[in-house]
Amino acid sequence: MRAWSLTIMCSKAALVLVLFGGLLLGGEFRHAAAAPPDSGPAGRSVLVIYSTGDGTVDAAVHILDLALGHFSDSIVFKSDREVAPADVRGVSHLVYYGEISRELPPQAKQIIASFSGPLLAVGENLGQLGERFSFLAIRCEDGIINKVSKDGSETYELLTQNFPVTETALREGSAPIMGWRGDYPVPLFAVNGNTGYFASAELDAPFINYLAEGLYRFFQTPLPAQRLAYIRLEDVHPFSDPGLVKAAGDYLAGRNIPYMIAVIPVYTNPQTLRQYHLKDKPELVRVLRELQQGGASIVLHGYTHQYRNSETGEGFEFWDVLNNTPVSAPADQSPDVPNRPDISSQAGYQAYLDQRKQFDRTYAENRLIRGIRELTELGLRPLGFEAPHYTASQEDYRVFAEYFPCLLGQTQLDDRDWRHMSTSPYITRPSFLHGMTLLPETIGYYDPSSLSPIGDMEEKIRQMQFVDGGVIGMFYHPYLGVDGLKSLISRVQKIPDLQWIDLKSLDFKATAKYQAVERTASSGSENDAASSIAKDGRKDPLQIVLWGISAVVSVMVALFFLYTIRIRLGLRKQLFGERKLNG
Amino acid sequence: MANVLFYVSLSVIWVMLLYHMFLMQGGYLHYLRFGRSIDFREKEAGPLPMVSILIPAHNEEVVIERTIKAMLRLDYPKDRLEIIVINDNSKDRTGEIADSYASSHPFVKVVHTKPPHAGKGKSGALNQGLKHSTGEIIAVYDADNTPERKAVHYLVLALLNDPKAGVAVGKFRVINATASLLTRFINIETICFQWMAQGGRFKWFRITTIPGTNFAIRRSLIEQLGGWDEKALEEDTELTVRVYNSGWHIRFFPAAVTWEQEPETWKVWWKQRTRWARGNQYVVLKFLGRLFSLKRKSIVFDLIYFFFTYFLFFLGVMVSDAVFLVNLFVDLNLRVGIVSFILWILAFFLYVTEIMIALSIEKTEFTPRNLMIVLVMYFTYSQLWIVLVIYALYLEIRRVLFRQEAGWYKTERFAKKEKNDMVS
Repeated sequence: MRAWSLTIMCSKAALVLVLFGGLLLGGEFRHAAAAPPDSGPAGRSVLVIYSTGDGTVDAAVHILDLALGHFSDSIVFKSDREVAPADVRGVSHLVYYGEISRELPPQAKQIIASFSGPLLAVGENLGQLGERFSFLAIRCEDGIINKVSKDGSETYELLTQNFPVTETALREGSAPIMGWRGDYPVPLFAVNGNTGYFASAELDAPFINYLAEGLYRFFQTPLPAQRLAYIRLEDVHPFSDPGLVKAAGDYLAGRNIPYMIAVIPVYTNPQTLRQYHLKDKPELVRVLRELQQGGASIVLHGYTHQYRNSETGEGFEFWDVLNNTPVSAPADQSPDVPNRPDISSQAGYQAYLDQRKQFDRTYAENRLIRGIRELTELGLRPLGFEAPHYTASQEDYRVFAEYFPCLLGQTQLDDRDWRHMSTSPYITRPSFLHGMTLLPETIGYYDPSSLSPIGDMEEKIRQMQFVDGGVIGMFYHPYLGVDGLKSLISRVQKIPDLQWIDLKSLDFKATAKYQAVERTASSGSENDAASSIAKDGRKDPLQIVLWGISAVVSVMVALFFLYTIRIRLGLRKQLFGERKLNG
Repeated sequence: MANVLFYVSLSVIWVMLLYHMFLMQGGYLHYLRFGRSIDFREKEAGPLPMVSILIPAHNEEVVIERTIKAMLRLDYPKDRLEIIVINDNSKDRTGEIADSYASSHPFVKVVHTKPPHAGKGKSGALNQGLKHSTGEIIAVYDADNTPERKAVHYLVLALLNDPKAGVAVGKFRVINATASLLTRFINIETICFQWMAQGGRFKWFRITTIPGTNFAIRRSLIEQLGGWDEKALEEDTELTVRVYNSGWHIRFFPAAVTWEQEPETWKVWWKQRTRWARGNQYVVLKFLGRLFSLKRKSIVFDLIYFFFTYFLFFLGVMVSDAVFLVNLFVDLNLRVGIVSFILWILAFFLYVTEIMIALSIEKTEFTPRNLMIVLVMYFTYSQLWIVLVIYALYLEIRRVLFRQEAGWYKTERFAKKEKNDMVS
């Protein structure tokens, strides 16, 4: 009977613990999500002085950018001809990169020699850099190595060919990464106090990995204890089989592996050029929503993944591969790519270049906006961007960064050739991505046409394990069925201390432009049900219910307060109150 | 997994809280309306029926005299009143005191029970009393009760004016509210209970729980039901269910007021509450099996509520607390946002405002001191429920396993130190 009353009191009291717990958990969660790779990147300011053939920032310098971007959010590049003493002001770390061998201008030499902070030299021209590098004795400027070892380890990385390096011998300091010419050791990454030297001017893979590994020493950053990994389900477009996508997603979710789905919202038939939109495939949309609900992160993988009349998933979208130039003209127009001599004046040429750049920018922006809109309208919220075939012009990266905080895959290094491509071994924020964080794809994908798909990836996995912070980034095409995925995952799971990256937990802030698209998408004139889902696409329904309860209870609490006042005011009129003394 | 558990327990908890919120709203509405027709009832009622008041007493020498005195002062025609004290196997002067009143007042009777019919608990005593009674209406009071003069009159009126009501239930108040912090807690708790649970449920579902004291039942009904269930620890809840199942409802009529003594020490309180919790668990288990064969669906609802309270809600609290504790040591990656914090704040406000309504209805209870106590209560008194349910479950399981028989779990009485004539 009256035990009733007790429970009423208590039911609420029990919440104290429950909800207070919730509060703590919430805080802890936010804390975990905010953690960057290491604490320092925002505090470091790096100046790179480079010596390149034409004095511009070329592909090789961008590779250096990729490597440095892990350690600093502020990287400035100056050619050896342009650098001025004022450029060093406020710089915490100075890097010199000699891509080619040449006599350095005296001012550059002077700036480098007088810098007292941490100083790193990469590649050529070591002999011109002053006293700080006297811990190395230069033996031969045209040395070669054919294998690499780390931290005095007995095991070697065999290189595919002989690579040129500046051959030195250590007088002081140490060489955490050692190159080998046969049995003869050649320091590849040497450090002495706050001075470092990387002996190879070549930075393409695998050298970016060795450089990256050395940079942990140079920046005196602790080596990560865990090895990050991520997997994307690739090229999901309106004609993807919902069953296969679901099977792949369910398999990963079932193994508690966070994953991404690279979605292309529009499929273009290469023959008819007719476009099919994701919203016309409710079954696939439902599957994607469920997977998103279950933990998958959606990534926008281009709008059509094609340009002109190529097929979705096959074609390039942000690169005119036919002419090997940035996209500079509407798809139906014949490409008009004049060489410079065709245009008589310098001003005319510049105007022409600006016009092309402007077209490229508008084109890219339109595709991103449409892509984001068509996904958010369906309740799918893309958290990152992946360029089709990883190709994009430098201007495109600027556009991507205006919409997305995060880029997946690899990067195209210049506007000359789409094949100038590199990735970073670790998560990085290079300056040429304008603030985007690159989650690198490093070990490729499961290729069923190979005799040993896993074996093909084996070598890359091993290379990545050479770098302590190396990310194991990969993708898988769900149309291959779930068996290949299983063997891929079981191989990767063997890597010790593996931690899967959950894109959602990285807590990237949506950019203002992205939010603007999202708003118009959710309040737009599109069909109502879809847009209402899109609005709350990110919240799970239970959260919505909890907010609803909060609203109702707030109203009732206010009402109860009014009742109390009303009862007290009306008490005199009460006919049958307590009669304490004469009942 | 942890997320699911957490959300499920959070949902169960909030289902309960929202239900209570809904009940309080009903209680408030019942307060506004219940008294409107009393005048009408008094005029329209025909001749008053014969009433037998049953007072089961087992070692009640401390309080029985005051109770009998209060009965003698009742504002009800003495020729239509019969006061039956059931002296159930008392080892003290209870029987003696009762006998002395019986000898000087013709309408006071004493029933002395002897083994094997004695000492079987309150139900057994009531059944003995019922055998010796003659009234058309049976009223029941605990031995520590001092009803207000009009109390029985109102109970009878409620039955006369509501032919579908098998039982009329009044309100009880705490006579020793100022004795200790514990009785202050209990005072607030009982006031809140009456208006929220009794008033609220009656308003929305026509359901009231018989509170063991200060209620009147039609003789025809209790005979049809075969008296009280002597196996039930919590005979009132058990009777409630059977009354509804036989097609009657129970009217909550708060104009009929009785004052009763509440435990002044934690030890006594603990024993009493354990008995209630076990009793309710017994009822849930007894009727749960035939839940859907019960006639009155509203009582089914009430049983489900009990089931929620003692099993699901309890589990919800335990699970969510466990998840929380585990998470302190192992990262379960729970995704709980700011909304849970807001809900917590709201739960507290809800608790406070619900009690404020109930207290404000009672003229003397809406005091700053009581409001302070409410704030403390949330974090202290109320939390004891968790421990209590665990203990009661443990005892009930042991009873089932070892087939222990139910007996008197008597609440210890406290001699009145002062203000003896609270009810004059």
